[in-house]
Amino acid sequence: MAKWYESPKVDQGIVISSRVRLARNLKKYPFPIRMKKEEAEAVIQQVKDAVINDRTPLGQSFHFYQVDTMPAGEKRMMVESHVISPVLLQQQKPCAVLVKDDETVSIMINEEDHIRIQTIFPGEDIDQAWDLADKLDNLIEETVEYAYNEHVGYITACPTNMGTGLRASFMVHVPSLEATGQINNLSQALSKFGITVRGIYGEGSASLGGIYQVSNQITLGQSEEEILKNLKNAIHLVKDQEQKVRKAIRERDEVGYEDRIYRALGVLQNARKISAQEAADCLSLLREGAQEGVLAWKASKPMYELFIAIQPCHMQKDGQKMAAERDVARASYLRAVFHEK
Amino acid sequence: MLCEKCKKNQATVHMKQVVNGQSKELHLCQECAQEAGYLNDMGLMGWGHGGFSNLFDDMFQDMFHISAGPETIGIGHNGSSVRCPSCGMTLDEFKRTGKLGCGQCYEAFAPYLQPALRSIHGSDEHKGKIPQKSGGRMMAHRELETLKRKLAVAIEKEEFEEAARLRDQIRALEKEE
Repeated sequence: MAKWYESPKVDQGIVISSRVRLARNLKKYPFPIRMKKEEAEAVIQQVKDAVINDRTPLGQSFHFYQVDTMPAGEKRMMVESHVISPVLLQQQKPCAVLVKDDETVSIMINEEDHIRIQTIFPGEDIDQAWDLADKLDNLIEETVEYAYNEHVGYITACPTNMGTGLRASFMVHVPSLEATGQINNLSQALSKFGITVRGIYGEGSASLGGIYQVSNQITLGQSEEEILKNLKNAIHLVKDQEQKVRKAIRERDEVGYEDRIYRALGVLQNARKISAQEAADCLSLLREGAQEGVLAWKASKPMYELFIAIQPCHMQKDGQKMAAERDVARASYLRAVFHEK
Repeated sequence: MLCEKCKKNQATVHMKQVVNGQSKELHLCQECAQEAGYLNDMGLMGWGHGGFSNLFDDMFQDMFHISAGPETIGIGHNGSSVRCPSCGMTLDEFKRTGKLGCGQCYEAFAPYLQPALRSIHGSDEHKGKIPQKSGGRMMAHRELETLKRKLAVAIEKEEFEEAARLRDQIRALEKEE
């Protein structure tokens, strides 16, 4: 089954992917922060049954993973490909994840809340992500009762998620806004409209290769439709600004602009060792170059797929390697990918 | 003053809560307060007077100066803070971690949480999805509100047939409620 990040749609524009996350809790059990081992296991069983026992093709397309007992390296790989969050990685109590075969859906159990439904689609398609999350939410609710209050909506562990429990986000590639530092100004301006700009792996994470997440901050007092509409307006602004700045940079020094992009290609095709940071920066330049018509995309896989593949734990999966060995393996992998075409 | 619950012992715990903008006073004896989950084994402590240290606490404290002030909402006794009757989490613990312990904590800590929610989200009223199971009453309530709005519009436009139809629908729904 092809994964969402293998779709050519991830490289077609400034928006790489669209993601929706719903936070839900069961009424009967204390939240993960206060639950006993047996309670944590009972929650896992109920949510697992609600999804896996569904006889529709949707229910049958999920795989179950018990996360707390998994080897650390495998867990980190799941974080790198956005299947689980760093919070679930740290969870000591029984916790799990249900993953759809194409990785467009992951349902984390016993993260900060009992249930975190996450849907990701390639490109700019937040409505489809919301429809699927909504459908799964209804499916789970057929067999469990949610913690809900008629005034404040869905009760979540953290007050910042209360109400709809909805966090919708676009993953965007904005190398020019990053290079000029304008991403900071834009992020400040958007915060006034309840929109947050964060690094690639969410809360508290740094950006890598010019990739950021733009998401709603407010979850209460607005309907899901209003939240999505507000976010779509914000993303138009982000796209617009990135395009303007890209154009200005290119016009100021056309040769310099193309030179940076071709040099990045040279590095990826020839380097003998490369760090994740440098590789991400080069991939970022090539993605921009391909979109701006400077050169054709030279690799056999989309940029975002490569971006995940070069992360430290993905580089590690064929056995334990030291950082220096990983850098050599990464360079060799990238050379192969960029010479195939 | 006698305890409002057992009506036997002297009331020594005096509380004032503001729920949905309405102030409610409660006077209980030590035992009844403990039973209701307002007291822990250590006794009571005035909420809003504790040692605020982290950011979350400061946020709460700030909001209380704006909304009511610790003198008007609070427990007029020395000891510990409010406790969720379901999971046992205390208000102090919540203020320290910023995380609720269970689905019933919201009700237990509502006087603190409502201003916090208004500060975070600019609102404390849910306008989104309603779950099928626990949301039945809410759904009927929302439908009623929508119908009433439509009725007002119909009357203004002098569409009396439509208004009569809406009025009948509203009456039927109100009967069900």
